[in-house]
Amino acid sequence: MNTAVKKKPMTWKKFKRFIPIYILMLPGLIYLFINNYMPLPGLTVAFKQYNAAKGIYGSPWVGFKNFTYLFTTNDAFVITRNTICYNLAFIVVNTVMAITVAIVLSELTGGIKKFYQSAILLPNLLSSVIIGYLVFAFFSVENGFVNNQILKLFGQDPIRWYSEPKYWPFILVFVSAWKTVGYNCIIYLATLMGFDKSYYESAQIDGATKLQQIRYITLPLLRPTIIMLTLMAIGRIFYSDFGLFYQVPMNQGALYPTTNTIDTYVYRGLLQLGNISMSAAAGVYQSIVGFILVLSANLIVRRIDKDSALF
Amino acid sequence: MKKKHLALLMAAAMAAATCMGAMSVSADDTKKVVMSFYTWTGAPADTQLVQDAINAITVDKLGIEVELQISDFASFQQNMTLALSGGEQVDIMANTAATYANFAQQGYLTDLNEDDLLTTYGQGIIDAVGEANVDACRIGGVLYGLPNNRDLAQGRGCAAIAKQYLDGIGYEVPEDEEIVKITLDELNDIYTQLHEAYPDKEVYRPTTTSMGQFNTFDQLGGNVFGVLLDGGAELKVENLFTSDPYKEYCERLYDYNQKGYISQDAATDTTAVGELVKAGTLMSYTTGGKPGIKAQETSLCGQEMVIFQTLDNYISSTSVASFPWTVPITTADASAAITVLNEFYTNPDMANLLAWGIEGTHYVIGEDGLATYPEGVDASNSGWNHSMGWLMPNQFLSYVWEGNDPDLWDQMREFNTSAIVSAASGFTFNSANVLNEVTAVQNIYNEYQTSVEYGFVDPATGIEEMNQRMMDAGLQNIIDEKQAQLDEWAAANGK
Amino acid sequence: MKTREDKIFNCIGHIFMILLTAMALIPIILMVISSLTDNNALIANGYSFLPEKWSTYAYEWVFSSSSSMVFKAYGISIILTAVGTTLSLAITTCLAYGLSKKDLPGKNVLTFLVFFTMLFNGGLVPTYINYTSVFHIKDTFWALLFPSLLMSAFNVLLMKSYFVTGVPDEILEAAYIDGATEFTTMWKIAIPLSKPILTTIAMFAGIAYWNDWNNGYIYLVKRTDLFSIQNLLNRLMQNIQALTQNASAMANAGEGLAQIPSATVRMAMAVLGVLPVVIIYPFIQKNFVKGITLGGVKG
Repeated sequence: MNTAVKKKPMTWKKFKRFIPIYILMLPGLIYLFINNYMPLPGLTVAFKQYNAAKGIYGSPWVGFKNFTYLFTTNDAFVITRNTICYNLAFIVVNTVMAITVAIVLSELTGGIKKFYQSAILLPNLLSSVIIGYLVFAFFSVENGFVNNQILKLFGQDPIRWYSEPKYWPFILVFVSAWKTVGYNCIIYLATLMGFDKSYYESAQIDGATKLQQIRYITLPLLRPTIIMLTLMAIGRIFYSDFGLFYQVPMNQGALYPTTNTIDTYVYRGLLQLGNISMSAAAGVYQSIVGFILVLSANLIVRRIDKDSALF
Repeated sequence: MKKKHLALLMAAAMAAATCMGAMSVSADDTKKVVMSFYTWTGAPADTQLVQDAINAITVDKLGIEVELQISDFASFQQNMTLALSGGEQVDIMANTAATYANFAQQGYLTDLNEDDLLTTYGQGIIDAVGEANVDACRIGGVLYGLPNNRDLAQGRGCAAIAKQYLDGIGYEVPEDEEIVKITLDELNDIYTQLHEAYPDKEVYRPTTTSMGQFNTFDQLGGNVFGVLLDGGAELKVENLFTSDPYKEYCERLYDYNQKGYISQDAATDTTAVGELVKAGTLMSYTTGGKPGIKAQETSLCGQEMVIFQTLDNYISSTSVASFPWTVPITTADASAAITVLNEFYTNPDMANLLAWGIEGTHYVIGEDGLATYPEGVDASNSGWNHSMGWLMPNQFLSYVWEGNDPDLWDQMREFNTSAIVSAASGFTFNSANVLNEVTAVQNIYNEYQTSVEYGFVDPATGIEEMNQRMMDAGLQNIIDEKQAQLDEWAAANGK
Repeated sequence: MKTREDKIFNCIGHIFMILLTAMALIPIILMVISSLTDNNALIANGYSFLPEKWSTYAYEWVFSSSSSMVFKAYGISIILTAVGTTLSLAITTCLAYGLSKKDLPGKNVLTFLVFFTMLFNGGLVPTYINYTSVFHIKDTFWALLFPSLLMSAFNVLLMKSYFVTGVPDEILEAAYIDGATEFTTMWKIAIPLSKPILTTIAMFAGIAYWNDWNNGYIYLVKRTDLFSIQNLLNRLMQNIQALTQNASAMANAGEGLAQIPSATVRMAMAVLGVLPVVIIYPFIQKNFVKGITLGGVKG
């Protein structure tokens, strides 16, 4: 029925029906206009040599000069690799964790379920500075629990965690999962709660096991949500959680090979210079790459499963 | 039911917000000057009182009303960048060591020689700080800021050691000297004895500024990429990382580390050194020598500290222009701004108001002529206790605080004039042509700094590796650019 | 009727969740214990679950150094979170509902415009200029409420996708044919069917408002009395950092500085930021779900 309607040319009568909908949407659209679109021309500062006396719009154009620092460095490869690899790891690990927890929670019964759910949400309320110190409490060389209790227990020598880059991909992926699993699982849990229970009832009558139900009913039903969240994450694949990569490794130089990302590189490089144009350039670069990636990914999704595509 | 609740809540919130948003508007015709500076903790509780007291002087005398806009140090740079970009009125602005050159180069500041602004309205300022120091604030020949009177020199190569441990090893501390001059070998010797007597305690804790403190090279333009060795005796820009002093410093720290003087967590732990001493885990750390330093470190560590100095007192090229007072381009009236500044530089009443607050309320003058807290007031409950005297335009006009030598300001003048001055004093580096290189090299330096300079890696290999990567990232370009600008500056200034 | 398989699944599920809960709570317990440790003991021995010496001094210091502000800041945080969450939920739902209409003219363009804001923004300086010189929200309560937090494109798209999959078009169409207006269809049918996503989005918006300190940091320069609790704690933390790191640049500061329990106070402030949420959250969660259900059913 819907496809039939779509094919017909829009008549005034049809359009009139949607007027209340447009009115409903208006506050949100106005907000987006004010908050996001009005300042948008300011992005042009990335292509200018900013001069306060002339303002953003009066400053002279310099083309792509402000972008060059992102590519002329030998670290360009490292920071790009780190940013992308961590994001891919986060997408996979955090999604799998969130779905697992959501499914388990949805199957459990009793009041304790609410307790679990609230408890795993708590880490999300902590700032990355605090998380940095808590991580330090575990990995400090002289007083840390890992060196003093765990490694000692197994008769291992203490490890200088903050000078050994090789451990940090695991620590950071773990911290990220620890911090976000409670938050991310809520989305999946909400989606699960919206499912039609009759699917499961008939499956039970047919004698399907729990795992079979998850495999053949739950996961396919979650698919649109998984695809959408992944698409959104791909859009931000050139961005990184600054706090996670700066505060949590305590800004340790020795760890840069595995903790320096585009955002931390830009921050460290520009902190002394305070250059508005160069930091804007970094943002434009990150956004445009993300934009191209997400449009491509969306195109592929549209080919395979039109309903799951973002637009 | 629910909707009613929400409606009530919203109404309450909006009413509250409207009340909060209401602003006081002054109706008179006097000019208003907005003065922005920072303290470590933001606007003190009695800012309004002090502002009123300042206005009691300026409105009658100058016909100008001053509004104090005080931020905390951590957010000052961002607040100011935003306010100035947004065209908000700021007439007088303080600077941090990081902001002055950046603000000037990005066009935020007024040229103070334009229309003879300074000579017409600010002659008193020139007299108070001296023509030479004013000129030291020029950037590319243009004067954007005015220096303040404070400790311009810095005693290099200073270490503070807690006295209780010196007593423990039987070291005789000279009683009458505030700063004990010794050689580096003697200092190392003390550390050896300390470590033997107190093997469980950390002997020495380096910080990120320690390397600069224990050397006398001149960091041109606030970064160590291209420096003048030997305190800038010669105007020759050199690579610090291939120099002997740098190598010797790193070797010394590596040696400390091998001997177990330094905590394995030194690079990661952000606890301030003063607190480590207070907690009884640390015995010594680096500090900068100046008159009054012993009293300062002693109160910081909660126990008597002894200050040792191994190098000379030194004024670097950027020292004078570290905290200049400036007039941003968003000023409503630059002449009024300079007029008010002139008053702060020359009128002791104004200087005391800024430094110590209102007499009788925030401080009283004792019989010895020193300022102290009134009855019932202390550091924790005083409404104006910012300890930013060194930032204020003319600290030398204000009272000396109790616990210091009554002639502290004279000592400080003497300290400044007797110190070794860099030949490049007054030179400001403009990094615009080498921004890409600076960002890249800065990242590499951050990566290696703590491991090399805290002695966690062998300097024989570590320095070479760091230097090679910096060279690949364009360190030589920065050095060449600095040399070119320095030559140009020297030619223009007849050096 | 529970099968054996169900029981095993349940058992494994509980073990799994207990492990996760422990992992989430242990560092937080450490945080609470650290905040109650003596500062010198913490510096000397490092973080510990069984400190050598206990002390409530960190809390005493926070309350005595900014006594009047702490409670006011809690008040502002609570009002801000309540108002912000309500407004945010309302406009997010309305926009998402519109975007979920399959045959709405211009739907794809609008969805794209919403999505676009997730990737591109004008940057800090242009946004600041826009809000301060066009809308004059600097140093007002609105500065905490409006910039960037009021509606997130992420939430809109999330909700839109839920409406598309979770609220069958046929039911809405049937109601419409029965003569209901678009508005009542949404209010009486779509909303009650979308309870899970509404609570989710409300929670996301609530967390965002409660955790935010950036808006206050940027827009509240003179009116620090309008600080939310996160602003206040964040500022205290930064100031302590600045104070201790720059200690040698100061004269006469020693006596004030020497009293700050800098290591434990950090943890105490984190506890103060999270504590009210832990106390109020279960209560809100319960009533919030009820509220939405009532709203939907009774209209």
